[in-house]
Amino acid sequence: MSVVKIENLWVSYGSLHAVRGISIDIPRGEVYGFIGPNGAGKSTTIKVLATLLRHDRGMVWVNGIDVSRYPRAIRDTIGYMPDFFGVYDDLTAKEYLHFFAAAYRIPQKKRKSIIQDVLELTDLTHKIDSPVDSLSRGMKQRLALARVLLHDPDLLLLDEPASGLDPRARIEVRELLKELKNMGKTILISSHILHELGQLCTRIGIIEQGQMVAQGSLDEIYQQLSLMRVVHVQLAGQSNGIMDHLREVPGVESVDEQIDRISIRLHEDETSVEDLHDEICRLGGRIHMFQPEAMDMETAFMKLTHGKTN
Amino acid sequence: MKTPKISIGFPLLVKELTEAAAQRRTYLVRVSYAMLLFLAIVLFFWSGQLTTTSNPFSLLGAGKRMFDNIVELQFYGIYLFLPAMTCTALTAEKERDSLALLLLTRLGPWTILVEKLMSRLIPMFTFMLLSLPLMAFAYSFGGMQSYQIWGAIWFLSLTSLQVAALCLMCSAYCRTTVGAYLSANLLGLFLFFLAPGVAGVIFRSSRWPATFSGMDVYTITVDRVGTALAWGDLFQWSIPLMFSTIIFFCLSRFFLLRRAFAQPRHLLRKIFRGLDNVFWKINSHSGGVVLVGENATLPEDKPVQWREIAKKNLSQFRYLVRIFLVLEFPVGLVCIVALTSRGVRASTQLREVSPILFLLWIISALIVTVQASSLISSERSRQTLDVLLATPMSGREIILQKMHGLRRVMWVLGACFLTIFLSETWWYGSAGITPAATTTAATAVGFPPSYGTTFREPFLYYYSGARYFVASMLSVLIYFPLIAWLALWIGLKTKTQTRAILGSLALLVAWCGLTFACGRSDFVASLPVVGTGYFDLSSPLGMIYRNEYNDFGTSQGVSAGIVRGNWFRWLVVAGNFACYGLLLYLIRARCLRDADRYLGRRQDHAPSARPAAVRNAELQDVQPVAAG
Repeated sequence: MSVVKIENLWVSYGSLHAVRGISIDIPRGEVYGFIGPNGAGKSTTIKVLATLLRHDRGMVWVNGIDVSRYPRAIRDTIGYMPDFFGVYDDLTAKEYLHFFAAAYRIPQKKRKSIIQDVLELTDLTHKIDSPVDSLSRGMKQRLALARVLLHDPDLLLLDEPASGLDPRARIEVRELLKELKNMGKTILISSHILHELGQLCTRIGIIEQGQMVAQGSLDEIYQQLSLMRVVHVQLAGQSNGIMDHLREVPGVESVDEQIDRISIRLHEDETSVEDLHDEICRLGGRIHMFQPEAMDMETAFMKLTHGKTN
Repeated sequence: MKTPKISIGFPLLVKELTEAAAQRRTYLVRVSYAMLLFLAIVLFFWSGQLTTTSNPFSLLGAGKRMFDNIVELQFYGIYLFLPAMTCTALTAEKERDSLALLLLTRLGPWTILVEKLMSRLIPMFTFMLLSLPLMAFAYSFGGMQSYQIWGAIWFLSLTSLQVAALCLMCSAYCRTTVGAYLSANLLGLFLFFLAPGVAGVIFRSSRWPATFSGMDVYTITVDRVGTALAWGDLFQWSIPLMFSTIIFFCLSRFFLLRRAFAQPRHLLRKIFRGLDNVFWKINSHSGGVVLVGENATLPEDKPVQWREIAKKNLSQFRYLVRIFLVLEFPVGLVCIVALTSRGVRASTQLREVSPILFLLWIISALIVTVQASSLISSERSRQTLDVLLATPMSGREIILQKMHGLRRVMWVLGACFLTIFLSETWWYGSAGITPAATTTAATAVGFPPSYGTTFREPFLYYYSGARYFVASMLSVLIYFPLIAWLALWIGLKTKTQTRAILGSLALLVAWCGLTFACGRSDFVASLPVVGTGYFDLSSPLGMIYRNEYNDFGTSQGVSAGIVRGNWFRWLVVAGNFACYGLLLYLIRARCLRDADRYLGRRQDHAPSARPAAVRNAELQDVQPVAAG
């Protein structure tokens, strides 16, 4: 069963339509990356799922429960982390976690061990008695992740969890999210750091001006966009007409001779990179370098979006 | 070489005025100012001039009095509106983190200050221009001299400058708008009214009280003189005003850079922690007795309530004890002095205690309003509310737990009130009204023995100790929660803490102040059925005032009485508090019923948390269903 199912969601702020008819389906255990420019409607969608915002049209279910009818039941099953970290500057990390453990109605007897576990998971055990206000931004993000894990929710809604973090803190958060993914949590994560989402997410959705422009696995999106793979090849000695033969290979769009290499633009659905390699060898080419260019999400993102906002 | 082109412009002023013009609040404030001014003038003219004579010719020359009324109201307008407008000048930039950007431009500190000052004074002057039609009306009655008009313009302008400079100074010093607003009002009250007043008493001079207050200087130099004052004299009288303005402005410059990046700090918390350190040191040396040992606890089942009680300064037990002592000590002292000096002074009422009571009400209302309006709005400002709202706690639970901490503060404040109520009830109820005591008191000051009884009789005739005590206790038990829930309601509806606090205070001041002032007006008194007394009761202040001064009689007390007959007086008290109790109930019920909506999240449509159909859907791993 889908943990999140959204059908034709519309959300407006007055006359501004922030979300316009998006539909999402996230099965259990999936990590869904939500990408889009600022003001695209990502946070709005996440807030609807977190029961903090009323939608105008459409249906939203979390674990099969209608968000508009039973928001309280849904709050038990989700862990929401907003794109800012509001600080109770008068609490320590321990008090902060106990505060939310009580808010999530975790039985008192279990609280201590649960808090110990989540602190270990987020590597914050040594900071248990530190005031929240004194923690670094990265530690605060990890503390926030510890908070959302307290009641062992089915679904994690993470809005820009890595924004504003330094590279080390970002890597720490990413590793933590991978750990959560391995634990089987269903995660909906929005981020601007596309490279990291590519490593983490099983599926992504690209949203612009409140509308979903593409969604699916990374491969599906590349195919959807008809993105071609560029393969850089260096041959030892003369090419001896190999280039002309390569142009005849099905799936090869173009072969450009550059100063030190040949660039081949390839439709992977017709000929895979491995087959291309074999074909060059068959044609008698002595390969000095064979480097398929990584297809990245940035390319997909730039191709799919126009930088427009609501 | 090119010589740089000299360009004169006021970019900051233009930006501020453009920003103000785009805000709805600007027009609301202007309309409110105009409505209050015109309403007050109508009341003044009606009661003071137009209704007191039947001969139209006798109105000739009445323009002077009308003009004085208009000018007086303009002064009040400056004192009331200008702080609210000016205190945001620099604190708003600090709160938006844009002051640093402003300081990095080629605008110098003096230019920034002048343009900020002008951006607040220009709207204020346009407010004052609203009175031109009224002045023309007053002028048509005759009696005004040109020197009065020039004097009024001079002192109104000087006062505006002085108040704006003071507020700018506070805005440069404070980190938040609320801090700037409160400090500007307290400083203004002290510098313009209290300090000169005390100095006047000490030096026995009538000049001192008027030194720094533009309104008083105007009254003495222009209003009461009757003849034109020489420019030299006028200037001499204006020196303290101008001097204080320059000082405030220079201090603004001094604070602008030094306090531009001041970190927010909690003054009360700092004081309390300092006191904690002192007590710990004393205890460590003397092995002293710890009256209240507060151990660090963790939340059990009411986390929000735990945080309000264990972590907030105004809710922790040891801090509450300190607040109680700070308030109770002067209250108790005044009560004891008043009670012990009764015997020789033989006055009918415990008059010395009444100002303390009103002062305590002002302080308490201020504390409760600020605290209650900040309960939710501070969470919103700190961006901690969304996380709290994503938990399974209901909005009703969150609000009730939040209010729990405030209840402790109200109990402490209530205990100070109880001291006053018991003192007054005891004095009038037993010690004060015995014939022997009154006779002794009258004899002691040289009056015949019968005088004491005669003198007291009218007051005591209408006085009922039981009624006084019941009404006083009800005022604390009902008005306190009413103020708290009203402020909380405003806090729930507003987005920022500053707006919530200023909005709540403005509403409270307007509700109590305006209705009380209108209640004093002959115009209201002349209205059929309504009458002064009943109109007074349309704000909480009315009952507090009438109860304190036993103003229930037909001809005794402070003003004309409202009721006849003892039982009817009880009925008025009961009716008054029943109405306010009902209002309290309605506001509370509304806050709790729509708590989720006000807090900004979805409300449950069904009372049960998780319906069986939904649970089954989950278990059977079927397609999502619309539950219910």
